[in-house]
Amino acid sequence: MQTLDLHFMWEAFFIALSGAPITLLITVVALLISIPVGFFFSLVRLNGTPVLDQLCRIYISFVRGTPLIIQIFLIYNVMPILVERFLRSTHSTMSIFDVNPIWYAFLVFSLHTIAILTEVFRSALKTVQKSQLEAAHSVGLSTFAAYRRIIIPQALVTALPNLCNATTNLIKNTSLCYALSLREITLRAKVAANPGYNYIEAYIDIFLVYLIICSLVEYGFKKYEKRLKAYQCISA
Amino acid sequence: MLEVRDIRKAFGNQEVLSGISFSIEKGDVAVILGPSGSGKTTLLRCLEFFEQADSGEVLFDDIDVDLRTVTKEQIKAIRQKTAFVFQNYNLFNNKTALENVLEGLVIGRKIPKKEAESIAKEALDKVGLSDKYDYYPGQLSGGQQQRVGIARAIALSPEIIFFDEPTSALDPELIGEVLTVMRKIAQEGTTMLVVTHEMSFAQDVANKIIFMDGGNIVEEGTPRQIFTEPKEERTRQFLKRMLPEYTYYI
Repeated sequence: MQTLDLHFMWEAFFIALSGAPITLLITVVALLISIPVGFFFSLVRLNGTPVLDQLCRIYISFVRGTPLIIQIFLIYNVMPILVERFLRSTHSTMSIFDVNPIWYAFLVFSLHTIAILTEVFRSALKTVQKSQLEAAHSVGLSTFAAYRRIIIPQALVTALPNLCNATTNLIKNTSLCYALSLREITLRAKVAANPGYNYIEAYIDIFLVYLIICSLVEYGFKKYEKRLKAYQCISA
Repeated sequence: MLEVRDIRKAFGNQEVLSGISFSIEKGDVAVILGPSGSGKTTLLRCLEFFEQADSGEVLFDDIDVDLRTVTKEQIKAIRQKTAFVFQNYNLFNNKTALENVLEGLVIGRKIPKKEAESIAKEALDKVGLSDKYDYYPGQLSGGQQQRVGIARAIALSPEIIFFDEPTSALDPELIGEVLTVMRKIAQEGTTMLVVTHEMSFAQDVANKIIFMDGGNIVEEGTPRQIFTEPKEERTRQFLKRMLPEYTYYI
């Protein structure tokens, strides 16, 4: 019976880990883009802004209703063809096929996370009573100041568990970047496993690397949540 | 000082305010009485612009506002002169008692932090909460929260404070402490417009009673006029229900 090749597993663990920067880079870029945009979209949805609200809704149901891998394939394969045609029609010398695939990853994961966060923020903002805004107005705060100082800090407390969920999902979903031939955690470990056919070892390594990263992220969120909701914890 | 002319407001087909006019002078403590659904709270909310009235006019000192065409700047200017005490306190949940009072001073009125802090502490001391500066609303009783709400209002030294049923959400045993504070600030000459069901406050503290029913002002006058010799039948009926110990011979 074959046993696990522990030596390979040890080495492959670090090979997998060396993909972590790309994973984290995609995660951070996607979050940096989708947090503000998602927040704006959630306000659009809450206010029922005509036209924009309907567009947001359609967009969200597209993202939620289709598998991420298909979104990746579509954007990675179909979009360049369209862009290429457009570029050729304008006689541009730029070639879309030279673009580093990481830009596609930024695009796909941002588009995906915006939709998720829009709903996260929308539900969180709804938990803060409208009367908090009225109270802020009554003491002379502008709507902007009221959101920044009163409403968002309260909404954030409710949003954090879901935000943590969205972040860890995002980290795990970047494993699909193999479809973009991006050398992140999963792809590196799998390539390393190829020659000796040590797939089980490689999968265990991948498992561990994601587990470690996600646990750290979760821990960070827990800490932050605890700090934010200090005002709720102490009871009379 | 504050004059209101012909305010109208409807929610859908339901007309809630059908032409309200009255005026308040500096130092007045005016109490609006009336049965539930008579439009008292809506009137107050329109004056603070939480609701947009359909038509009417508000004259506040030198500011003259047509409610149909009111601008953001006008709303801001009027809010600078007013403060609001809510039925459900509406303290900022994520801020301590002191921070609740500071917020309007520092951010709303742009008063330097140090100066604001001494104003805020003075206001909290006045409502008897000098030992609760650093308590969050969740740690305070209803009566204490409402007193913070009042401190938040008086700290701004507004020209008028609107009170929207400030004791209706309180346990009976906590009502006294809030009324005592209100009485105190009324005696200091604060101009107040109060919606309440507390008859004792209306009788003892107010110098002007406005009785509303069905979106109209039925009758207004001094407490003495309204409580001892009401002119309108509707007022009599209401007072009879609210003050069973009074009997009127017609």
